[in-house]
Amino acid sequence: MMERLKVNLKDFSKDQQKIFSGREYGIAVRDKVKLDEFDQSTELEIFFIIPEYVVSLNSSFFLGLFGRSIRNLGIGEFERRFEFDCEPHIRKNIEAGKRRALLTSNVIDEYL
Amino acid sequence: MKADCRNAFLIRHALRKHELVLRRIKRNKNSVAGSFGTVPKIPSRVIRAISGRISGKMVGNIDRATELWNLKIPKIFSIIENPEESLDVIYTLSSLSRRTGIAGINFDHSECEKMDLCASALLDVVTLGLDLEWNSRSKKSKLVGVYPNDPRIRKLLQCTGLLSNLGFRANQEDIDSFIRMPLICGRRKVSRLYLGGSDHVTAVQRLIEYLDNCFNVAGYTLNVNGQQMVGEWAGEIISNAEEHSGEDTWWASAYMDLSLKGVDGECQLAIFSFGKSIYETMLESDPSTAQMKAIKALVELHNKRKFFGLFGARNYHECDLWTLYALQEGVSRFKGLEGGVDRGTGTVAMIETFQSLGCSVDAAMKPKMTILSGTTQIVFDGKYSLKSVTTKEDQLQQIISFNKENDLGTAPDIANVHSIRNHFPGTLIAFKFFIDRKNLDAKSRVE
Repeated sequence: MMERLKVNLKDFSKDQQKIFSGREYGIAVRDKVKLDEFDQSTELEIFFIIPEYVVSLNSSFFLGLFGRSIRNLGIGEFERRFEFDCEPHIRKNIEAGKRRALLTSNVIDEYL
Repeated sequence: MKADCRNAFLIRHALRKHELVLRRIKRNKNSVAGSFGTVPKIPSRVIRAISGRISGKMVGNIDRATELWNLKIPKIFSIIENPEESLDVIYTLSSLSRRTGIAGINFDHSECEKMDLCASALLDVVTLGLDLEWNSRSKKSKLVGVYPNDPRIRKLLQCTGLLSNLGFRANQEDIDSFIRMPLICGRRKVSRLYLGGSDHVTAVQRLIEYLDNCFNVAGYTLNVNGQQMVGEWAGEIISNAEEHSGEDTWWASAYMDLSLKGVDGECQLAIFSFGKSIYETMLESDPSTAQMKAIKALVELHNKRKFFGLFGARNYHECDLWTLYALQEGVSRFKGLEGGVDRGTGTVAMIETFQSLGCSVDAAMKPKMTILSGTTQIVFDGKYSLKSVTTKEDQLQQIISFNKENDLGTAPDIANVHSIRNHFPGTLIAFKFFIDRKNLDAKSRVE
């Protein structure tokens, strides 16, 4: 039986904050939520609530918060275990963040 | 030097907020003195950050009678259009912090015909820093100046420039001809970061509101996509300033001049930080990472193809290639990040958006932006754009190479990517664009 952990980004913001930005901020939230421990457990799912007034989950914040989980778990497992309750424009941020976290090759590799 | 009284301004009398800071420094004077009473500590973070690290030519001379340093502001005082002469002014100010026998500075703007916000804001921040430092040494300093002959530059100086940042109040009619986001100084939040509310986040939100106000003038508003784009871009720039420069403080300022004919307004925006340049932080990356190996291979290729060197009046060096490379999608300046990619192309994407939205139907009014870091200047004038390229592993990557081929293995256009003779310790980003209802109407019809 999977256990479900609920995280509301409102608890990690101030005064109806519309923007979540900065890699260090993302990592600080990650540490507070103990996502590293969560990544180790296969019996846990996580439900992220992003308040409707939030305008942007910047890629720097997203990658600080979830980048390591995506790389550790792989995209399939990440999508299975991380659920997001958010507006459609935030969904676009999440998809862009996932793509960036998985960008492993570089166009200049051909010069190596 | 005798200045025409009608054109002279005495800045010291205009100080308000700044005086409070000076008083605090005087109170703490003993604590700022060096512990052995020989070399005084430099109390100004700004002067400390640039002193000995900025390079340039000394501008002006001392008036023996008044002991004032006559600092001639160049005809074009602009980081976008004339970074070398503009940085000479900043270099001179930072050098004066250590000179003896100087009673103050006479800022001579009389011949200044063009002034951009970035150069102006940088001058303000360094002047305030210099004044703080002189005061901490109980040195009585005098800041005086000569107004520009050009009435528009005079208005800019009073409403958005040095005088405004020193607390001088211009006449209401002039103030009303600008929408301003006054100079913000932000610092990296280090404790309880997870609670949000950092200067970084506050500044990004303020910038979104400010740009929305600017577009409102032309009857448009930033929708959620527009707000996201500004948030992503501004957040990325401030993140980089906080996390890479080693100085954790940054400045941002903006204005929209509503008095221009033919457009609703001209917007200028400047964000800068002192500390390490982009090239210097890239050099600190772990040399064993694939990214570092790739950039070194690219440098080798440019070397072999003899791309580096002097071309006309411009120089292209290895550090310029490193800086250009740092702007590409997926390039990180974080040390030892295991295969991780945590930078976007927010800066370039935002610049491109403003190249499109920020132009005017009048072809003479072209938006222009620049990134200046260390000795590298990258100019965005709309000639080249960000394009998707497929990597060996079949992934899409956004690339801007500043050449027709959009190939990082080919030399970039020297007009867009080059070295300047000065070294600026930090990174400056300057934007100039227009808000023109006719252009926005045309763009929205196309969409």
